[in-house]
Amino acid sequence: MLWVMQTLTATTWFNRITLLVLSAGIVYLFVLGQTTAAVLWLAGVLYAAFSVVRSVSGRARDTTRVDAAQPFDERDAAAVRSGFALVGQVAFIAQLAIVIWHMGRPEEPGLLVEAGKVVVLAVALGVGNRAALRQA
Amino acid sequence: MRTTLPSLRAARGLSQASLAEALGVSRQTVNSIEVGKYDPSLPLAIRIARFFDSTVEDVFHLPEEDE
Repeated sequence: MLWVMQTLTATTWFNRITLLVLSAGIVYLFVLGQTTAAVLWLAGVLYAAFSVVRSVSGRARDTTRVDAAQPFDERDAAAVRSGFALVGQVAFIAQLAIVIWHMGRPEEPGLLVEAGKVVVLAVALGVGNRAALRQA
Repeated sequence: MRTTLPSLRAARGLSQASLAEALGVSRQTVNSIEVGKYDPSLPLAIRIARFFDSTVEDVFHLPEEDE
């Protein structure tokens, strides 16, 4: 029981929220009768939870810890930050390209939704930048 | 950053894993510091120096200082 509490305490906020969202999603899929999708996501969640538990114990490789967004020390944490920064840059650029594609085809639906995603990413970037600067 | 960490560690007969455990970091982090791939934060550099009863300046050197 103590081991479980220590693991939960050491789990990063990102992993807690991600696992919570995925667990709720699995229940949602089961309720809607999408059993195959639910089982596939359940397998993914179990694998992710296993990676997190191994990472918290410090027995996992550094790549496993960083891939699981579960840093053990400052070098791992720096790698996680760099990795997520790259994800954000790729997502932002790709989303801009999608919006421009939609603007070139006004007859296609979805422009507002895709533009909204750019706004969400831009707001997240602004909040993240300011939080980082205040901590520095 | 260049470092005398490998020789300091060897003088104490410590493995990378045992030093890592004493410092509360991973073995890979100790290895990366030793080969100059990762520059530790100031708090970790101070912890390393204190572990070896030394100073940060004695354990870590700027590359141009060795030329």
